[in-house]
Amino acid sequence: MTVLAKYAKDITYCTYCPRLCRFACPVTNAETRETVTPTNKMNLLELLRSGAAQMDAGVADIFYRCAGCLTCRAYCKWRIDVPRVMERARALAVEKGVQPGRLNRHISTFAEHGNPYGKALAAKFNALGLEDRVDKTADTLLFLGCTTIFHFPNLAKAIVKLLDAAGIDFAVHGEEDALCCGTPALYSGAHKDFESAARRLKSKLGRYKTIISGCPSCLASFSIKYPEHGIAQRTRTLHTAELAAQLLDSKRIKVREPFAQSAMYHDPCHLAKYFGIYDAPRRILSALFEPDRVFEFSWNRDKNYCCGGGGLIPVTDPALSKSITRKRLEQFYEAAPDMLVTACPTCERTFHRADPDIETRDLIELLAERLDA
Amino acid sequence: MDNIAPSQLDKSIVARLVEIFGERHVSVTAVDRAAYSRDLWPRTHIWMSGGRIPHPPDAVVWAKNEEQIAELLKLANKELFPVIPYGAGSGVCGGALPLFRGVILDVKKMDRIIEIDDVSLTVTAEPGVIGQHLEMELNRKGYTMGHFPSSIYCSSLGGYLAARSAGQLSARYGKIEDMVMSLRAVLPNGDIAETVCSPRSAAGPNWTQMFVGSEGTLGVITRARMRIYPYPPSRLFRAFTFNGVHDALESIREIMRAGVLPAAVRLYDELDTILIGGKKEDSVETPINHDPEPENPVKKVMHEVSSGVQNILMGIPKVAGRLAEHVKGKCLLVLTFEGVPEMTNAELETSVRICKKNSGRDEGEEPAKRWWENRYNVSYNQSRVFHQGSWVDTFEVATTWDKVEKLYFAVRKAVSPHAFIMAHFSHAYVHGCCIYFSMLSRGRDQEEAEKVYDTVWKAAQGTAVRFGATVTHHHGVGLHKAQGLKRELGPLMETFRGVKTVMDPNNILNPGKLGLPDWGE
Repeated sequence: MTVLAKYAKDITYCTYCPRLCRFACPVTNAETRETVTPTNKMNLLELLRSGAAQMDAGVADIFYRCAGCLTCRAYCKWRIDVPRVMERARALAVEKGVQPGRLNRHISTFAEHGNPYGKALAAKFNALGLEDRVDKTADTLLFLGCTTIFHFPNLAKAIVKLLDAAGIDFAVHGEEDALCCGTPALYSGAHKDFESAARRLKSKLGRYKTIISGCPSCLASFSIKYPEHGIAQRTRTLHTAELAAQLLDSKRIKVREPFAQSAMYHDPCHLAKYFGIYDAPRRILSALFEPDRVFEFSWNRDKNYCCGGGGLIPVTDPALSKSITRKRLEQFYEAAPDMLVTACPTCERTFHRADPDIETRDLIELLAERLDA
Repeated sequence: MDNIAPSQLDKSIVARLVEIFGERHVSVTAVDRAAYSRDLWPRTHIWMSGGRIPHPPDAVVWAKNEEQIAELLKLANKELFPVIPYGAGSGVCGGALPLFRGVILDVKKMDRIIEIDDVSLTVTAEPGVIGQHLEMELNRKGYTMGHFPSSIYCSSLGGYLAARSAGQLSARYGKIEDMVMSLRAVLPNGDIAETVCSPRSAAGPNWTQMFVGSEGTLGVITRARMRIYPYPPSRLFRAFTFNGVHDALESIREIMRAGVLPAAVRLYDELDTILIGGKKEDSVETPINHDPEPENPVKKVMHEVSSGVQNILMGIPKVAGRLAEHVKGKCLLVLTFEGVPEMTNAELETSVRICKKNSGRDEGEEPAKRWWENRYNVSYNQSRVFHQGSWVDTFEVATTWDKVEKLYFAVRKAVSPHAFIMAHFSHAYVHGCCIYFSMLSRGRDQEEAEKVYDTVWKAAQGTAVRFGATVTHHHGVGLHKAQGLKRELGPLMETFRGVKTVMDPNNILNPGKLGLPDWGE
């Protein structure tokens, strides 16, 4: 339990809190089970620390019922980061070998390939036609991230188009174990694999001045999670939405004409809560859509709601993931705009999976379609 | 989990529960039973600090509809086991504790907002909806229910009704019993009853109110139709300070007597003004910091001084309690007004005139706005107290105006030898007011902590009963205030027990609460 000693104060504060974040927790709202409130998860850790409970499969299962969305922190006066403590609790579960069985393949694939998709990821990357950019000398690294490469090649191409339009010279990584930031290993609890991935990548990141990515979780990994694990990484990170908003503001890029359709924007948790980036996407939206054609969820900005794709819940409990997504989509169905727009490949994939009939798009893909040549 | 007793429920009963609720919605696992072994009664926190789980249920079920609840209650009558209805478990009196094991009936899956009626201004909803979700949805559509308990983030509509809740804006919008128009409930024998929905009825006793405050002992509330209001177009704020509570209480009394209906009326006594009500940066507490970064040195020193004072209180509460009796200072009165501008302006004007007449110093809008922005924050402080090894609890008494001030000083005097005590006055009426005491103390070990806890509560409740005040304005009774209720009801307690026996002859619903018979009694 020494790994939890650092969080002893967080754990006791949550244990004796009147569960004030419960209404904001997407897992709690979906399961309606006291056991999975952020407060009770921390309470379980208090019982583990005091020896009143032991880490077994039943206890471990609860620690995997966290989407890592940080909405609990948004409503916590003490700003307690429950997901961070859950990451540590999952590491304990893996050490004991009591993690959910559904994760085993995920963990072994990452251990072997350094990414959650295995060999197929490199093939997908090669199909993007970025060979001449691999490891080239440049100030900027474009880190596409495994989910974008594997599921959204068009988004990858759109990001490249944006950078080219702005005249930004950039390099990419090409090896299969350099295409993923390590987040999937972190959330699975396989922290040794995460840390070795982080060290491997860190040695490659230092040569760049800026890392650009369209994946908020990759950026959170580089600038928050690596340092939390003692792996200092100082290269500046920039999300594509932030970059695109800056380029629009400075008129280095222009939008041809706005879309005729309407859109609703979903704030990705890590983008909004780790980085506080929620105005930049809206500035892009205002360039892409008429003002009266943009809708808002009532849970938005830094108090948004998870898409259902966080914390590896789609792997450990797909039904729970879908239930969270359904809750998120309630207001979308009510407002019935033409498309759902986001700025995170995991969110996009989660919405696609839950309802393929919804046109879910990434901001940058939309922007790339309307760039004024 | 070794320290949790195994479920004693017969396997055939568990199998029957699975038939009723489905496999996913029945649990006998240790983690679930541990999670439902406590509510937010501070005494359960004392237990938790020693890793004790003395009251685990045998099983937890999650109902999706009232037919399942009816089947469960019929089964409980046949097989004889207790059923404890459970909303969000935010009660602070042990009302949801499975004292005699049995089955926890969680109703949070019944959380639909069924209908908003714009013509009649009502909302019909299920008991499991969390208060903040309901209010957010109403706000989004241009309404408010006006119910803002400090627990709104962690409590449910069913819990509000079952425990007779009151919110911070109760002077304007009323308490939960004023808001409910009708409800549906599953009776202990499995019958489903629904009360008539009408602005008023003279058809005998009020059966809606029979279930309000019954804390799951007479039936399981499954639906309620509540009054709502258009979202207020105007919200005004004002604060005053007074030398001591007397002139401030007089001001509140006169404001209410003048027919003004402020949304919030909150008067903090000298200590509460220093520690809670007057704090300038209540929302900007220093986060728990694992990776210290350089911070503003002035802020850091100020924070440490403030924390130091609070740590002394937590470390030696009895000494602090005695010293506190001699504190003289300002008392902060917060007033807010909601409604159409013509009305709020007039109410504000009248209130200002009354406060000034009673020597109140006009502090402008800022302190009241600050309270509004931080109105739920006080509950977070509980964590810090328990983390320091102390305990904190609150006592909300109410009485008529002729006794309010005397009762306030008497409770303080009775409690201060054993605990640090401060108070604010809220939920004002034309005829009286609620006093909300916060009491903080500790023991050298858990045994002593519980002993001190009992001593403090005996002194506090005993004083309230002696004054003819009620021992609970809005927290309910549960287990914690059962003795106080018995003393308050006198011979009517036997009548209440008779009602319970007629409605629930096998005593299956939440036994041992509200002073009603224990399981097997």
